[in-house]
Amino acid sequence: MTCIVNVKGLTKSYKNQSVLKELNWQVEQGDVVGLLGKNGAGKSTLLKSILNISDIDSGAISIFGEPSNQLSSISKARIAYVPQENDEISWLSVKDLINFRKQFYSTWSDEKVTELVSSWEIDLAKKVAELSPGQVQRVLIILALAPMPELLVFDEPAASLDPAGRRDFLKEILNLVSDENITVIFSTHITSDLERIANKVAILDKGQICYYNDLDVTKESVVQLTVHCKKEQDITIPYLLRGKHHSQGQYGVVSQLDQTWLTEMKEKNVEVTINPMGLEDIFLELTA
Amino acid sequence: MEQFIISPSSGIPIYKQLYSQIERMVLNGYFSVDQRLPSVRQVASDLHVNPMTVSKAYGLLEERGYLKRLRGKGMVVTARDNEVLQQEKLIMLDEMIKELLAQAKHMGISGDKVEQMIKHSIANELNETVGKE
Amino acid sequence: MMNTILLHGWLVKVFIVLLWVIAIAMRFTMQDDTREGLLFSLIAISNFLLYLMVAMRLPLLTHSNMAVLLPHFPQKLKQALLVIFAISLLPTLLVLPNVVTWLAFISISILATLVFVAMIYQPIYQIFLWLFILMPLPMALLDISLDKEKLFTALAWLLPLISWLAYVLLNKLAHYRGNHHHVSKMIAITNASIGKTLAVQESIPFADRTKLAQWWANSHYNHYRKLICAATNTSQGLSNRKLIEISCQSANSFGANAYVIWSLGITLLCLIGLVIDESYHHFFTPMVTLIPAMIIGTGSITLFQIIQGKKSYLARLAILPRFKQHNSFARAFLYYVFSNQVLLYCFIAVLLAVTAKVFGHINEAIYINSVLILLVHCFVSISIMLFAWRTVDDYSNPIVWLMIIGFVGTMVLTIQMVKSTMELLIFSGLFQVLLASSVLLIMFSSFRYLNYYSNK
Repeated sequence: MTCIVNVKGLTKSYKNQSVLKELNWQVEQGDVVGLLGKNGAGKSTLLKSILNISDIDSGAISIFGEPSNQLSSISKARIAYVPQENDEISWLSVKDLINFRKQFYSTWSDEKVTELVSSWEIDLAKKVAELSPGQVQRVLIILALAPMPELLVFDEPAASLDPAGRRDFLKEILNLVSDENITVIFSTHITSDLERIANKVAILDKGQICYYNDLDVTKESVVQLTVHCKKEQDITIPYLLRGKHHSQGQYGVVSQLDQTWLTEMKEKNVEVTINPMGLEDIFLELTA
Repeated sequence: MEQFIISPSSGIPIYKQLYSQIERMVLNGYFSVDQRLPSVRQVASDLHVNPMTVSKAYGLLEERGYLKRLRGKGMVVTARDNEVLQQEKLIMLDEMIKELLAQAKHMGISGDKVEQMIKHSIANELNETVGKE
Repeated sequence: MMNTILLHGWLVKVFIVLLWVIAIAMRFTMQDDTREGLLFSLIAISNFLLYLMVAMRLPLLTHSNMAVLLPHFPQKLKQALLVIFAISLLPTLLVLPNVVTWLAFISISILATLVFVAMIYQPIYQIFLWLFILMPLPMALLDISLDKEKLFTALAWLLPLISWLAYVLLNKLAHYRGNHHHVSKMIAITNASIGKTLAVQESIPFADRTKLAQWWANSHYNHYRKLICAATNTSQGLSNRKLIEISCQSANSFGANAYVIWSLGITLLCLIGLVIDESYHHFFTPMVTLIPAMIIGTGSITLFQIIQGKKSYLARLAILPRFKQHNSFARAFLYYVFSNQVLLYCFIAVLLAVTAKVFGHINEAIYINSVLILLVHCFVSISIMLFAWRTVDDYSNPIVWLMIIGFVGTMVLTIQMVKSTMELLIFSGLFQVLLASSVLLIMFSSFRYLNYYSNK
């Protein structure tokens, strides 16, 4: 699989505080990657740094094989970005804004725009400043999807959307994702959205991507274990993130299920119950 | 249109949930042999999940012999050897039994008591006495 | 499409086109070249206004998130700017007398544009603007005379060099994304409608403001903190008016700090005026005439925006038990507004008197007339402010525009008066009507304001 986004040694500090530290990350074509992180972890900064919207202190970033600070216009036309904050000119009407953006792209799907504008009930004549945050978000999403990009980067795309809006947004992304050439990176707090549409999950913590794996594998690896044993049996759980001993045995959360250890336990007749966890709990355990 | 039910926030990956559901539906005859399953796109769209997940579930089912891919038709339920089918059904039940027994053990209920309870339930539910099969 | 964004603002566009039309008309009706200078100034002002307007819109494009991601963005931006510049030169073709002047004008335009753009992105370049305003004085002092012909010829010859410089800088601009912090603030302020400029400034977090701004805000509030502490310690407490005054304070209020700074500034100016030779006094006239405008802007319009922003807060204040006596809140509020503004206008009158004494740009009659006009302006301003504060709808935009037009009109009137000798306005029938109307207006709006609260 081709590597669409390649980040090596990305370092960025802001006002003397280190935000990203020697960060490495590769996103392959066709992946839908959900980026999780605590508030202030630097998700927006990471996405902006990758797209060269923010300057970086050091590191090498390439998109579509080109260095991100020297992207050709063709590559730029294949990238879409929806920022978290709206910095579009507030006195432009939606129609003007769409027409303005259209000028820059050689491929632009008017049908997609009309379809979304009508199904999301956007008033084309309204000025950007007169729209509610949810509507602004929808407009930004429409602007991102119209040029039919191959790499979509969303920064908290559903933050201002109500549940129906989020569902609509997910539907649009899912439509796109059917095409295996499309790569999506989105940062979010809403783990349930991620669980629906992402196939990979990345966790940004302490300036680095501390975890990056297939979502299904994650759910099958990061699990709760309850070991029914006596203290004398002195059992240690491998890959333990956090554990507790109690009278009936041990309880712990692991980052990986060791099959050999499980077979060993079976042979010893020690009962191990495996409780899988939802992504939200997994995230909390991995960043504790 | 069959509606699968999945829970995205569950600890069980969606593909696994789908796999289990379809497996059960095939085994208990909800899907008849040669019945065409809804397309990956359709399922993904109905459930609002990534088509890759549905693909994965279908792929796994194909691997395990429950489905086969027919050109132009999509995924179709395979005709299975009855014995193999029976075997798989028993395996599934066996897992459930193991779970049941583990739970009973935790509660401190003896194996004999469990057997007694099962016999009682069978008499009422299945209207058969044990041993008829 | 970029042009629409760069040239947004129909009021300014109309004004610029008007100036162009006037200039072209003048050129074709001129018999001789006695008014060449005026023509040149007209076309210079209109074009510079255009360049300034475009410069102010530039950050909206260069510093947007999408600037690095939109394909061909730098090229399209350069193209749009060059097209606008080329179009701005078309009227000059018709208006300017000869090739040398025309080429010199292009050089001056390019230089002005460079300065405007630099100023927007790096505030330090604002020094160029001050140098330009203050230039006539040292030139006169040092007896440097400018031969216009020579200057224009020099500028015309320098055009290739200046064009090359502009080309290089234009390329830099198309990719420029620096000084993000300052530019974001600028964008927020220019993006805001005229009625909301204060709200934007106040929304800047304290920690992000300059050290000077922080000190200014702190010392302003300290005065009121002391007042509150003193009141808590004594049994007397604060009067209703004082309470409302404290509630209406903002870091941008025209408070004791502002009065002190202005007084010091004017004193300094007057000292300079007393020291230097009388013949140079006329250099100070533009600055001195601007003083009332600046004080009204910072003391009157700002007050309006502050209170406009606090409408809901004051409404909550008004229903406190303290104000349960009929009309007590409205009365105290009016007392505060009147005392605040009357003091402000008296201050302006005093400053005007002092500068008039020193610089002699207006005589006694004109001074009295100015004071009377200021009086009318004061009454009318307060009336329309009260009107806006009384309504639920947000009329900040039209009101602020009205106030701006009001004092621009006042200034124009004053300048007119300086040109011609005028009788005392108080004897003019028209003015008497105006004065009476303004008094009635203010009484009417005060009355309505009082009743607004009594119906609650």
